[in-house]
Amino acid sequence: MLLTLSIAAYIVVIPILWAVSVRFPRAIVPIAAVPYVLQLMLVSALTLGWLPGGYEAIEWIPSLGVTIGLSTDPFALLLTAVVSGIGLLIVVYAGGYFEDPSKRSRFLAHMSLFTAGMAGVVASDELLGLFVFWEITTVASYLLIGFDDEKDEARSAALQAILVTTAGGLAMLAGFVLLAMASGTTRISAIVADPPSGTMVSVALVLVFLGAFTKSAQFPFHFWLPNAMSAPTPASAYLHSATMVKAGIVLLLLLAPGFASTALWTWVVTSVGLITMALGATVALKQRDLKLLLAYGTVSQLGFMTALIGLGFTAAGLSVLVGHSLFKAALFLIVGIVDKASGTRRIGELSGVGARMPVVAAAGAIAAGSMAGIPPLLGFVTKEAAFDTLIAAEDWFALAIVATASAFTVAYAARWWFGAFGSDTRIVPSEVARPKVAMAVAPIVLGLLTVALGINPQPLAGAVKEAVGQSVKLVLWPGLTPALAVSSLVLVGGVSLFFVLSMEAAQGWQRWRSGVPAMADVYAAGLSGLGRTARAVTGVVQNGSLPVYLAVIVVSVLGVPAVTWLVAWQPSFSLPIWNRPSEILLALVAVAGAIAATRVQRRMAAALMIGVVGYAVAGIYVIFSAPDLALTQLLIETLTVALFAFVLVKLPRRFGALPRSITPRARIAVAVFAGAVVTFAALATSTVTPDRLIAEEYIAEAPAAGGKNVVNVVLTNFRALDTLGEITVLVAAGLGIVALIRPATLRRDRSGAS
Amino acid sequence: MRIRFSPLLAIGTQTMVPTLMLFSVYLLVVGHDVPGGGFAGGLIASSALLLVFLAFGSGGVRRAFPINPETAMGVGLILALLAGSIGLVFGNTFLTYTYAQWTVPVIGDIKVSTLLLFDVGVYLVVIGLVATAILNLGSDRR
Repeated sequence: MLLTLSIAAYIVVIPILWAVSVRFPRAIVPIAAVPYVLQLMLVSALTLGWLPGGYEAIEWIPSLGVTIGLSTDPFALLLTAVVSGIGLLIVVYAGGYFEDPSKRSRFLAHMSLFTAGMAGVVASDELLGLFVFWEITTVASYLLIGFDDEKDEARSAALQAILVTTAGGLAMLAGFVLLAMASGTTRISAIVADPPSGTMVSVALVLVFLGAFTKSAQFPFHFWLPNAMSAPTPASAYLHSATMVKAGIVLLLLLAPGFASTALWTWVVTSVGLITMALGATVALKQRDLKLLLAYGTVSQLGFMTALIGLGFTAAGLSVLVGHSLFKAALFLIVGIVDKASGTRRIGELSGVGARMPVVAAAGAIAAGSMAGIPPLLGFVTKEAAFDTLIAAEDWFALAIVATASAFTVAYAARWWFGAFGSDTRIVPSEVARPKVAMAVAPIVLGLLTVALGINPQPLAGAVKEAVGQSVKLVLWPGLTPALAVSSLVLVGGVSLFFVLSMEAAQGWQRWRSGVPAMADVYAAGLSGLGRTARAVTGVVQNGSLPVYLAVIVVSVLGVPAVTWLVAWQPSFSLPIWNRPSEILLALVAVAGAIAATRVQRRMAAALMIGVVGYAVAGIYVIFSAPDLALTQLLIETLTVALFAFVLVKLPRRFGALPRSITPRARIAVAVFAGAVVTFAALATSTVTPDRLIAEEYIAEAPAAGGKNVVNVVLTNFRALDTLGEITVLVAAGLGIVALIRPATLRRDRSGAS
Repeated sequence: MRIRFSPLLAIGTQTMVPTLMLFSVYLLVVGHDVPGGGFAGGLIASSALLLVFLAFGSGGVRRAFPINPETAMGVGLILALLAGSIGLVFGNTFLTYTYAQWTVPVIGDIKVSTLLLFDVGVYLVVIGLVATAILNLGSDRR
């Protein structure tokens, strides 16, 4: 229960943050930090065994098997520590980044919502619960990318991110449902312990991959991540490098034990990962914007992790994940500091920044060095482990791509650091303000961790081994191994690449373009195509003619059930024509009213005739002793006619010529169809005799629900959710009246006054 | 709509409306055991409002129903949701009601339940909707 409560704490602080925002600006950061600190303490206590862990389940919708199930296994604890630990540093950083208290509290509130989702994703052991947390992170990411809501590009980037990731998320949900059906359980640990197989499982896995790949910005869905850089820097650092984009990786890690040995998994996941890694690394090198460079670098590193997991090397993948979270968060935060202090983050416009903020530059060097894989930093250790694993598996093709992409990584890491902190005589030295201490804390702490875990990787190695049950060789000095040779080659290759590209002769290389159409263009074309289709369809079914609307509604409402009835038709109508003679009288009145409604020339008369039909039906309810229905019907008919009258007085008294939007023949066809279907339905429903009538069930159960009037018990108990839906519709209709009528009234009043 | 003041209708309305309102509340309260309920009760109260409108115009409706009708709809919907959520607090599913029943000498059984809250919500939504329609559609100004 404790882990669930610690996640709930993130939600609890949101209204408090909102409440304190302007009045107590100093309280914002401490309050926002509370749940992160609590969760870190909880994780420590659980890891050290001071508190008993275990599986915590809340049955949310038991009838659908939807459960929020959180596990405190080592995997969940390691990732929860990453999420809450980096989160805490980002909270402190954001306190310095946002000077405006209302922005600061809004940002931290959105971020708190995100962290609740993310902490849930990493600890979930239930498929559907995981999906819910997953979508919480999607929504929070949308809010954070579009944080500068007055900027057009921020809004469209947010929309793009939510469309891409939600589409993937829905595919994933379908995959989860198939997976649960195939295996008979929604517990992830149970599914991977006894993995199902077959066509359905393959389909399920592909759908789940779509979710993971969109979330983790894998090719061909990677394009949303660079655009998401419109988010404020702390959000980019936290969501779009250290945590949320890892959700797809986390999902793959969770499922890998059960499915990594299948050919589908190996081929799809590995190839997508390798393509993404190579693509991201090359494109990153071209970027002039320090933040965009990091974004493509993140794409590349995520591809690296995906490829490792595709080959089944979960321990190596998890190690790279942790190492990447530490250095990439620091890199983003440092870009934010440089950007705030100098007003730009473009390579070629900055010079001499390193000399003005040596501590930040040093932290940047550590983080960039870790990204490049320089000893004794954590990035070196984890990359070594990956090389070592690939060599041991004799997977030369993957090794070649990973090594080449890593050389590019070295080059763009160097380009990043020299672009941000280097000195260039051709550029006027930048005006740099002193960075705030609150903002420098996070990169320094992350840098220290990177160094400490690089020198002594044993704690991480132990945690990873416990988490995924696979050992990985995380050591600083492995001896003279083939992996060390590859690492050295990568470093030498990357540094040479950087120097070659920095030479005068090589200028202009950034403008090189591949002929492949960018996926972002495919996305834009798809979106505008969707818009065109929607406009075309709307133009047909909603062309502004009320008779056409009515025809569309009647035909579709009655046509769909009519088809199902025709399929399952058993013609056995053996109904008495009437039960009581008085019925005939009422039926004749109803028929006469209906005919008259179509014949009269005055609008008001037609409304009254429809009222006559309604009253006659109410009379039939009385005959069958249904006082509730009769009462309601009478009242409704009365009110309807009165409200009709209100509107009709504003229209001409007589009907004009028929509108030509729909021909008389078509009107007759629609009317006959509607009449036929309703007649058929009435006959069918009154002759069908199932074994047990719902009505009998209701009457039998009504006393248990505490009421003697079955009609009301049905309305308020058995079908209470329907009633709730209906009154919601009533409220919507009422607001619709207000929205449609009031502007017209106001306009008239204003023109009358002037 | 032009409302011509009719003394006959005005006196008739003044006589009928209190009875109608009382009847509507009666229907609301007893609805679970005998014909009635929030919906029927709300409709009776709405027809009373309609009568007031026909007799006294929209000014009369505003005096007889001093709450903003949109607020009434919103409050009604919130009450219904609240009634549904109380079940969650007691560990039941959404829209499970909680009861208490006492037998009082002379008066008989008194039953208090969150179900009544739900029905009151329905009642308010119905009145609010009709009042909205009357006040917006049935403008009596020319």
